Amino acid sequence: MQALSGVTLELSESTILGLIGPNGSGKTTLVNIITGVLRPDAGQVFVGDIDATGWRPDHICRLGVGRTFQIARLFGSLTVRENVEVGVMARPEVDVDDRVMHLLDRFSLTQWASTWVSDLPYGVERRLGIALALGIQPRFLLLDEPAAGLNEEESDQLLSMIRGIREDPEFRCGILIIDHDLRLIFRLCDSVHVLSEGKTIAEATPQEIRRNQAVIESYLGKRYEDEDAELR
Amino acid sequence: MKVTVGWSHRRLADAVRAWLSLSILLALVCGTVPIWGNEYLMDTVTTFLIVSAMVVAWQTFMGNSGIVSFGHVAFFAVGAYLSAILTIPPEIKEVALPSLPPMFQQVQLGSIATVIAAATAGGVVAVAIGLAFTRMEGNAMGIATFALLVMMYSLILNWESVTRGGRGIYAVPCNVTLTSALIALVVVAGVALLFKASPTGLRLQASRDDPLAAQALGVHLMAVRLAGWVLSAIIMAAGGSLWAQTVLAFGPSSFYFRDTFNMLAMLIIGGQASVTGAVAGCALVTVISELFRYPERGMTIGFIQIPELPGLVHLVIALLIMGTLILRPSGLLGSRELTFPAWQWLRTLKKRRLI
Repeated sequence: MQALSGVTLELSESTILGLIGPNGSGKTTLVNIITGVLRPDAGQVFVGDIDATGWRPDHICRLGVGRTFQIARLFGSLTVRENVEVGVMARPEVDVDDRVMHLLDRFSLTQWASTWVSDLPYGVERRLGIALALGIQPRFLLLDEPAAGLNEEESDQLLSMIRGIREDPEFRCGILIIDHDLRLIFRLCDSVHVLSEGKTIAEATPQEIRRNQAVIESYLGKRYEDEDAELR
Repeated sequence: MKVTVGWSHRRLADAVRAWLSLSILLALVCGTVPIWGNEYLMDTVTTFLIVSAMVVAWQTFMGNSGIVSFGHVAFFAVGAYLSAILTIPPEIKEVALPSLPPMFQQVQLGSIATVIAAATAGGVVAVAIGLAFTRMEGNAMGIATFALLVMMYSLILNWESVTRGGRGIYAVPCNVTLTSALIALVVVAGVALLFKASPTGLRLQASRDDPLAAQALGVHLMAVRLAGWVLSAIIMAAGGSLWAQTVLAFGPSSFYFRDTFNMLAMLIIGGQASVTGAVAGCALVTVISELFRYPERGMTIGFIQIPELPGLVHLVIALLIMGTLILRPSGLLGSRELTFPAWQWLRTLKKRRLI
């Protein structure tokens, strides 16, 4: 069984690329390969001009690739401030305390600074996960289902936050976002890459993807005769 | 003021406050001991201080990494035996250890040089072993340390030309006083708190909670675990050196299950993630051991005759461990460090520009 086959994906700095597909299509597997959690049997991972295929996750992180996880992976016995410090310390040239305070403020986490992560509400955990990844000042940020479990209002806040990250000269990173919330994806992304059963079935603008028959069929399991049918 | 790049000054300041608080408390408590004029109490407190230093050493690795180590007593043994060899007078070594290499037969060092030599030896052994151990997954490494415990015990028992095997070592000069033991614990606590606050310490704590998430933030798992392992071993071996120069005679049984159990109990009860917890756990277990030692040997209270109850002390300690793990799994202090309210008042006054 092949989890992925013939998938080629390119992410540029200062762009937002959406990665969608039904459950089991290989989205998280692809992110895990890019970030070194999994080693591919074939194919290559390039970060800029550097072939990072099969590198350890911490090595790839040092090339400037940051990520969040499908289920928030935070450091439960540390406080919110300490969690952010772990990421910031990856860049030893910065003033750690100043940078930590800045990130806490940027992501509205200041009031939670001294709270143990194990006591955080779900939405705050999600924000913290993104703040952690940005602490390393990545060139590329991979967000794995950041909107999972969020209500519509929280999802809109997340959308503003991610747009803000792209537009903020402080970060300027390329963002790859995986999510099942197509409303978020179509409003946020410059382009969308669609996987189904481990293969790429489309890559285009959000508007084009909405009307792509192959994409609709992969999500809904049947072909629509109506040419105006689209994903929402 | 920038101390060093990559450090959090806030964490460093917290560590310094915790160190000062713990040191002041220890100095106050130990300062009262000579007043009682009881030599047994002086010896007990001196031993408590040295054992605390070793439990803090253990905490430096186990508390920060979350990996249970059963083998740290091996470094304790390295420190103790090397110190014995370096401090026993040559004329006694000629009789007791006739097969020692000539270099070691003739040497006799002072206490400080011996502690440094022991710490260095502990560090070298730790690097050699750690390069293999730290490649393993967390649980596997824990089990491997158990093998280390057994290997070291076997080595001590059988390397008779150096250790005298089961007959034990004797005639180690007494070079440690209550004051020097207190200074040693204060220094060790400072090093442990500094490590906990350091970038490497924080990364090790992150790897304890979630190794994969830590790697995703650039943490080199093997490197941070090795750093904690080696530092911990250095302190442990130094503690073993001081211990040897306190007890003056010892054998292989001091470096096997019983002492491993005792020291692990202190750490678990006090709080694995806290340097203060390690000291507090040691204090509690020491007090309980002393209290239950009397009924263990049998005693008479009025007309009540309590028979000998061998193993009572260890039974009570085992129950304490179980109780702690059930009721308060993180230990008495969890990950908190001692800090006097006075520091918080000073900080508040400073914020309000009153001082």
